[in-house]
Amino acid sequence: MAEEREHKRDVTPPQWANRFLEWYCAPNLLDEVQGDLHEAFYIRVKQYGARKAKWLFVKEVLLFCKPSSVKKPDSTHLLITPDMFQNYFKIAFRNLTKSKVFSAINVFGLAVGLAASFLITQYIHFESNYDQFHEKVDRIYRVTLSSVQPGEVVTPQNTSAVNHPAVGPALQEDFPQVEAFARAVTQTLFINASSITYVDETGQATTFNEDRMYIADSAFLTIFSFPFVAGSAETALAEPQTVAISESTAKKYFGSADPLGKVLEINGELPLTVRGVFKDIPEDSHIQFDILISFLTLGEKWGYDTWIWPEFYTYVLLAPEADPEQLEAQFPAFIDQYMTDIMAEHKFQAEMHLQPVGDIHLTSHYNNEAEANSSEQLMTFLTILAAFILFLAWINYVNLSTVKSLDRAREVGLRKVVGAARLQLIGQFLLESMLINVLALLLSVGIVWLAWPFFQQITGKEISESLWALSVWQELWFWGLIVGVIVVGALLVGFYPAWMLSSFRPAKVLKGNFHHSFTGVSLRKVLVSFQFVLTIILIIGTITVYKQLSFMRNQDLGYAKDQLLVVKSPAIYDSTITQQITSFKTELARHSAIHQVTASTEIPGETIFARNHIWKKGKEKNTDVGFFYLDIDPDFINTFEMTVIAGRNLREEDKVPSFDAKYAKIMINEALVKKLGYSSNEDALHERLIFRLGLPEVEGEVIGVVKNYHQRSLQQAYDPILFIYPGWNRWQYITVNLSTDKLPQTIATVEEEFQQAFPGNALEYFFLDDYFNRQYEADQRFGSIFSVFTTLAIVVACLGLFGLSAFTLKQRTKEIGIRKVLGASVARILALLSQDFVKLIFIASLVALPIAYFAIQHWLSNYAFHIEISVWLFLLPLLLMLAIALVTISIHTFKAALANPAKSLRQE
Amino acid sequence: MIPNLGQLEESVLLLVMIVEEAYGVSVAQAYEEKTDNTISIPAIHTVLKRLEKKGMLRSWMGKATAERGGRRKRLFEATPYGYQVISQLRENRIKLWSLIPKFN
Repeated sequence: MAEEREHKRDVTPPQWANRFLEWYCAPNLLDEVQGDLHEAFYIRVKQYGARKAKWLFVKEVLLFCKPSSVKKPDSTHLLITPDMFQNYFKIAFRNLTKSKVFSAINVFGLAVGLAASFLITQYIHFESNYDQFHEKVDRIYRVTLSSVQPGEVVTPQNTSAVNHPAVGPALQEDFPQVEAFARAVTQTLFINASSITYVDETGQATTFNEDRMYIADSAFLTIFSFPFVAGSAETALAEPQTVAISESTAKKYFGSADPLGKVLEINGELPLTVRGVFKDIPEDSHIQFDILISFLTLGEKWGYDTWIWPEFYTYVLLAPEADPEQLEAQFPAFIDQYMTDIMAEHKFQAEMHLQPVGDIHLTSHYNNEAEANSSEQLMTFLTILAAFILFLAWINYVNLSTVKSLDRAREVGLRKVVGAARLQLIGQFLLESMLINVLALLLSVGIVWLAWPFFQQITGKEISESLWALSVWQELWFWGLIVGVIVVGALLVGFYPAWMLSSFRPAKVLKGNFHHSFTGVSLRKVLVSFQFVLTIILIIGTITVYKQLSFMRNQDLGYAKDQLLVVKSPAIYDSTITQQITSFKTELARHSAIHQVTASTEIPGETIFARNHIWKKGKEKNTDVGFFYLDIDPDFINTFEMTVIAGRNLREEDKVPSFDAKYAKIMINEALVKKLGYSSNEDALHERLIFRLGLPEVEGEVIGVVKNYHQRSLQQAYDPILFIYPGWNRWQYITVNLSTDKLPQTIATVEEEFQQAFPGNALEYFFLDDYFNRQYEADQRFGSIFSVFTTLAIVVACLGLFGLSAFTLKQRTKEIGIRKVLGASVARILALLSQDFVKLIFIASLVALPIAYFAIQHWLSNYAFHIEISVWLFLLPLLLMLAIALVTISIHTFKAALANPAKSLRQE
Repeated sequence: MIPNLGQLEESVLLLVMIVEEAYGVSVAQAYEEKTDNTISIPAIHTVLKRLEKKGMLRSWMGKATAERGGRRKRLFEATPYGYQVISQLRENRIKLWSLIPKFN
């Protein structure tokens, strides 16, 4: 008997299962369920033994765990019951509508923050997914070419995106990993300008000047996957004199007629048959074009096998299993095999690298990029900016809610008295914060929708036709991100106010004279200071960017850029072109509105094409320095209103008669003087320098030194330039220095003269200042993105400040009343009320100024010519910040300071 | 119109009528004894609840007793409606049985 009892006591249902049952089971069911299970357990112990009984017990405990027997959400165990949930919503909405300003600031601030972040995310997403539409993008590489001196490393300055024409074929020949190669070269390498003409059946001619044009290998279309509309990618460029064009180009020339088989004539001499039509190249392609001419059109004479003609974009498609690094490791031997002689002659070491095509847009800043690329740096920067704005909005929420909580102290007190647990209160306030976040999200959708066209305009990118056509909507991660930002945001910003509010002691709050002093003050100060820090940094940044941009636009470039009209020399010409241009110049110069006319190979605002090395006569050849050739006529200096600071200008008799002359009169600029090591400009005069024009070495006599001017953007230092007047040049540009009084007539005159001198050609002209400033497009874009988002950030911060000052003043109404009664003046009260914020601004600036200093110094170091970092650059933003802050809070302070003390004191 | 009653439901309803002091464990025991099938306590509970909801059973909490560690039992008994349903079911069955063609 004793044994049996012993036995019975030993065998009990598994405790953990029992406890689990007690945890989940609804209390009204617990008795019967637990009772039945236990009773059954002991019966089963007798029937089947302990093990099976235990097992069955566990099984049945688990079986009972179903919705009908699980505890109903209970106020003492869970945060929210359905009824209370309803109540919370009601209260939340009442609160929202009760203090409309507060809610508006919170919701609007958050919405702006979210909208800004969304836009920036879109932009970054777009920029970082360039070229991803190519099916084989992971296997396509561009072969870059660097020419380094011994000991030098590869940098963007000594690397070019283009390569020699022979590299592609040799790579495919030598390496089995290289499945295919394709070269693309801009047509400007072969022709100065390209007028394309289509003559239809009726003899009607349509002519346009085209510049988005490449000459490309047939494989170009199969390596990449530009979608085709008509014809096929495989065959479009497979024969000489064939061309593939974009959909909109086809429409431009042929209207709705079938473009395939139609013939386009380039510069009136070369017929090209249309064999393919591709969809317009999407914005997110690193290479942009409307027309592709087959490479075979060039014929044999262009030297496909040249190893010293770096002008060809070279793409390779690697085999799926190929390792690019392993291939790259074999490049030095490859280069030695083909280029040893050339490298020895030209004294450089070539290096080649494989660049994944997908990385080009964000990471590649080499010479001769096909399009202006963006940078990872900019992306990082924008990410930070987006985070800043979101933070500012979140801080607003925390600040305003903590201050606002005073108004709700009584509610909290009452809720606690009737039995609300702290966790319940926290839940309630988190719910409110969630609600505000969701409202903000909805509002931000509206803001984004309205801002979308404007946003595309300032970024200069057509990201998508409409907001709803964006690809990210189909991406799960993006929805996750949105939900994440909202949930994390709501928890993050809601938690502190919730925690603080729920800590109120009901006895104290409900007594009626709850004093507005709580620990939130210091945190709020920290947060406000942090806002100030961010805002000050952004303002300093904006001003710096703005000043640098206007500095670059207004800086004296060393020539008269404002009244120069540049005419492109005719596309269709014959051997008499040089004389024709001379007579065109003479004709133009006769008109009174035209001061000067000159012809040249390059104009300021572009990188000079021809480069070579030069050294002093009598010195070793290896003392040479690099320089740029600029072919000009004697009118160049006067037309551009440049200055010859030593010696004299080139004259008609200084014309170099032929390509293989042994002697030439030349001018050099100050930068080249310095580079050659002369101590002064005068020292350089009549010096003899050795360089090459054609094959033989030329002895150049320096007859003049030209004052430095900006050939390229102010981001670059002065280029060392050698000026020469060649007799054989057919010139690229004719620049007209004109009076801007009667501009339309003058342009009409130029047009007329042009038609007479070069019949059949279309006049193409532009103003030099526009052309020069085009170099600042990227900077300009950066500047506008930066200032737009900075403005947004400041608006958000001001909103917060506005709300905050309203509430802090409300707390001090009585204090102000007393002060006024005791004789304080309005001015004194204003000063008193503002000083808190002013103090915070100063503290914030202590943190912000050093950060801003390093940031702008870093940014300015990208520019060879930049503004000086002055005290004003820091003082001005600070004053601006003060002014903005004071104006924002003064809206309330004035009201408070002017209020009748009798009113405020009567409240007691 | 006879309400739809599953086979298990029918058995449990009958067992409640048979068993003295019908509650989860006693019904389960009776079920196992009388039908040679095993059944879990939760399953019995579910069926009892369902029958109560259909109005064929009614229940009340029994007194606390020492044998189950002081936990009370929920006791069930059939309602008049329950009896009516079961007898109708029986009549129907018999009617159907009588319709089976006889071969001998």
